[in-house]
Amino acid sequence: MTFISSLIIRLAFYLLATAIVIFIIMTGFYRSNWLGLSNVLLLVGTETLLVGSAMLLMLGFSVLLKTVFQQLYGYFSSYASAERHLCSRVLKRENFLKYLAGKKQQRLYFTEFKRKRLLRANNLKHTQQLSKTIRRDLKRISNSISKQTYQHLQKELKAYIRDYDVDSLLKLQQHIIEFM
Amino acid sequence: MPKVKQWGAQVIDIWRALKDEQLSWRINNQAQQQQLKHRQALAENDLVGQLKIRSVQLEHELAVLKTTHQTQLVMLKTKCQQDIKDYKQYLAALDQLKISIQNSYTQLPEVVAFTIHHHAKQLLNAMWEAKTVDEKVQREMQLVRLMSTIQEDTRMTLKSEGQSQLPEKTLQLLQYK
Repeated sequence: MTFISSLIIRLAFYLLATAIVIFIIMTGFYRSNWLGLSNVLLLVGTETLLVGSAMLLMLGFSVLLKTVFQQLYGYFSSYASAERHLCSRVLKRENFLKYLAGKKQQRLYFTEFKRKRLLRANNLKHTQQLSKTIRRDLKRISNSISKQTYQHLQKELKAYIRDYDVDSLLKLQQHIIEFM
Repeated sequence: MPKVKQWGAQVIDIWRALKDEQLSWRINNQAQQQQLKHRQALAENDLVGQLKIRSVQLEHELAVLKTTHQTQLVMLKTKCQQDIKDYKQYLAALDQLKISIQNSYTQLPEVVAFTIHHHAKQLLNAMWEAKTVDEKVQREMQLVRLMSTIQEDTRMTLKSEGQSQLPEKTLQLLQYK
């Protein structure tokens, strides 16, 4: 097949080259006002060009068809289908491993989320208790400190309660005890 | 015209010669060609067989993976649920400790009870968020030590009928933390 293809290609190129030579000769005759001969050469040259092009086109088309059939045969062959099957198994395994990793991560995330929620609720409860005590102590020392200091302490207390900042609340309470 | 005929005959001759040559080449190499084809078919069959075996192996592996990992997932779920339950119990125990300190030491400033409780909670969180097992065990030991010291202090106060004004051992432990 390769030998015949190369033969056809060679023949087609010879024909195309011949057509070009004929056209050049035709131009010479035409310039020399030998119109009859130039018309004949034009016809012969055109035919040669067409035959050469047609041969190349047909060869190209046949090669294309052959390639398409080869590809189709290859796609439906037992080797290709076995390979596809194997690839699908590999992908399935990888997807399953990813799914498992995701599921584990999701479980750990939700557990951590639940724990943080419990901690927040507990912190809120103790912050409220602590803030109640601090307010009571602050009221007690309100007469012994300046109005500005009292307002400043109250402002700090509100800010710490808003942020659930137990450390700062404890420090504030100790600070207030120093005034008592 | 005769010349065209002659050219045509020459072309046909060349074509025939080529075909003859091709045919003789085929005849000479037929056995080898068949052997090659046979070998190719065998090799392809062998390869297909290997691929199929690998596919079956993978399918089996997947089935095993599914079973083991489903079990692992169920175990993880149980562990997570148990963790949350434990954490809740720890928080409740720490709250209870704070109440027992407040009840045992009525003269104790509330801020001290809050501080002890806050410190215990920090230890609990450090234990829970520990990256390594060693660190987790260390934090757990610290927490257990703190809780047992508080228990001891409150028990001693009950024994001495409220003579002690401060949970001294607990405060000492907090100072040297």
